[in-house]
Amino acid sequence: MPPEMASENHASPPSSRRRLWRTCGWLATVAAGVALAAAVLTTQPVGADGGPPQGAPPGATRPATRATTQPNGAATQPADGAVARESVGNGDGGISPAVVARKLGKGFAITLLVAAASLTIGFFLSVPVGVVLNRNRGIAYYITRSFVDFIRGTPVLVQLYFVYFGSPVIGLHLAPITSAIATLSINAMAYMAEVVRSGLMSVDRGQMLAGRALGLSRWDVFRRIVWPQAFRIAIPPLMNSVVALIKDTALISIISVVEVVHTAKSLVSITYEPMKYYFIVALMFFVVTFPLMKLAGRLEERIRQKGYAHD
Amino acid sequence: MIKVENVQYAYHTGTEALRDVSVAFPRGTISAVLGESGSGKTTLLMLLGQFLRPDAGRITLDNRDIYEIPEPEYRRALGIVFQNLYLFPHMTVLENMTLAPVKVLGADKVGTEDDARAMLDRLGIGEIADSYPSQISGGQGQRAAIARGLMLQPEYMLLDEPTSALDANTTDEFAAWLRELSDQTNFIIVTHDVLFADKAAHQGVYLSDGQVLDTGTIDTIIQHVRSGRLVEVDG
Ligand SMILES: Nc1ncnc2c1ncn2[C@@H]1O[C@H](COP(=O)(O)OP(=O)(O)OP(=O)(O)O)[C@@H](O)[C@H]1O
Ligand SMILES: [Mg+2]
Repeated sequence: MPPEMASENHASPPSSRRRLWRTCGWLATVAAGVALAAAVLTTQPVGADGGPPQGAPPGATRPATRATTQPNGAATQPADGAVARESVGNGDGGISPAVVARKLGKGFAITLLVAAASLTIGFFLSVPVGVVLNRNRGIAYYITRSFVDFIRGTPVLVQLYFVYFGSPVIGLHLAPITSAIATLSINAMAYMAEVVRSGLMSVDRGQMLAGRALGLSRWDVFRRIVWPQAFRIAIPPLMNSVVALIKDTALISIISVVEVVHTAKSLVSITYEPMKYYFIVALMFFVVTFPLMKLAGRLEERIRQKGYAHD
Repeated sequence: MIKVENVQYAYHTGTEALRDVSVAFPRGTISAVLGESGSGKTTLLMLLGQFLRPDAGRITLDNRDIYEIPEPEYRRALGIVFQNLYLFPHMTVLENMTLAPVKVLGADKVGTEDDARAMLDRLGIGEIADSYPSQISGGQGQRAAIARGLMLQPEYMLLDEPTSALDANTTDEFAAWLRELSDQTNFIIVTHDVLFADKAAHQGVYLSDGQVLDTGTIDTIIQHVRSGRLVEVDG
């Protein structure tokens, strides 16, 4: 009987392969998390004693400790660090790992806050915009189409400058973070609307006819029949938009939002360790984006296999 | 009674799909709309379902122009099962059936679910209630789609090519099944399958190239087809 066949489908090889992928995904995430923690923790020695910095101008930091540090500091850090911590201690103006963790953590919290706000606003705007894009005719369509194309066809960096420096011209004095959220929301909206449109397009028009034939209102047909199907199809590409936008958030440091890149920049200007700090920042982003990418891939696979994702 | 009077319809491409079509679908009968491929059968169904509007002529339900009947009322009077069924793939068969009664009629959800299960049992497909459309056979899907339409208890029900997913044996069974249901619902069956029409319907209309070639009892139409007066369709 059909139901049994269906449950067999669920349990066969694809499922065990899926489990393998899931395990790999989690392992990689955990590994990235551990690496991040380790990177933050090993920060102290370098910071505390003013470090070895490759790029540091001579005499820029405490000369006394410079002698004890290897030129290729980062690799030999732990051992060095232990020594340094004992011999130098803190209190000479160095940056302790706790401080680094707090600063970067705070910066990243801002990053995530901006990303989350922009994604939420952008997503809710993208649904009606996607609906209009899917109509393919009419004045509302052409206006929306042009706007979305313009946003997608211009650099986010330029848009950020435009909003931040342009808003006062029309009497709006937007704070950097407000400008950032506004710009990124519009961006998320544009990309997600495109995804929503293609999701809607993939739903057979007959689904709408059938719903209407059953006497359902246009709204109920959209809400109960068309949207759930379009959304399931759109989930993987939407996740990719989420990942892209989270990465774009790094750009907002240029309009002086004190997020994680900005924080890292100031840490680097004290410690002269760009590799270390930017690597830590990269890992922080990766820890967030990696599970999303994996999840997107898995859902995509699942939709392809089943033709439809039931659970 | 549904009456189609002198209806014209041309698609924007210029195809004159229906030319001066007049036909009546009285209560208490199963009607067949016959005709070869491209003769305008589906177009007629789309007009009856208010998805297309006639360029000329009119369609009435009990002498009222269907465009003067409030849409909710008309939708409840006439159900449609499309050729491709269009079961909602993200819902179980049961959910497919309860959506409209709950949303449109404001029926109580639990009571409607009981009704739906009873309906499926009566139609002999009780076991698929909790399956998704992708998990059932073509014939089961056909019945499920009809069951979904019957939940609103329409007086008329249009079926477009209902036998396309069925083999010969199942088609006979299906015809008998429709006959059984026909005491409560007036079926209008769009089909190019003359044998099926013979088994299921009482009366019919034969379309060719957008025009009515023949109307009357199904027996006379089939006689005309057999005698070569109407083009026999391969099916
Ligand atoms: N959406 C459309 N746009 C333009 N022309 C159409 C459209 N749908 C149908 N036609 C044309 O209208 C005519 C009647 O088509 P219709 O679908 O009503 O035929 P049919 O009798 O249902 O055929 P079949 O048995 O193959 O389903 C055909 O010539 C067809 O090409
Ligand atoms: Mg047809």
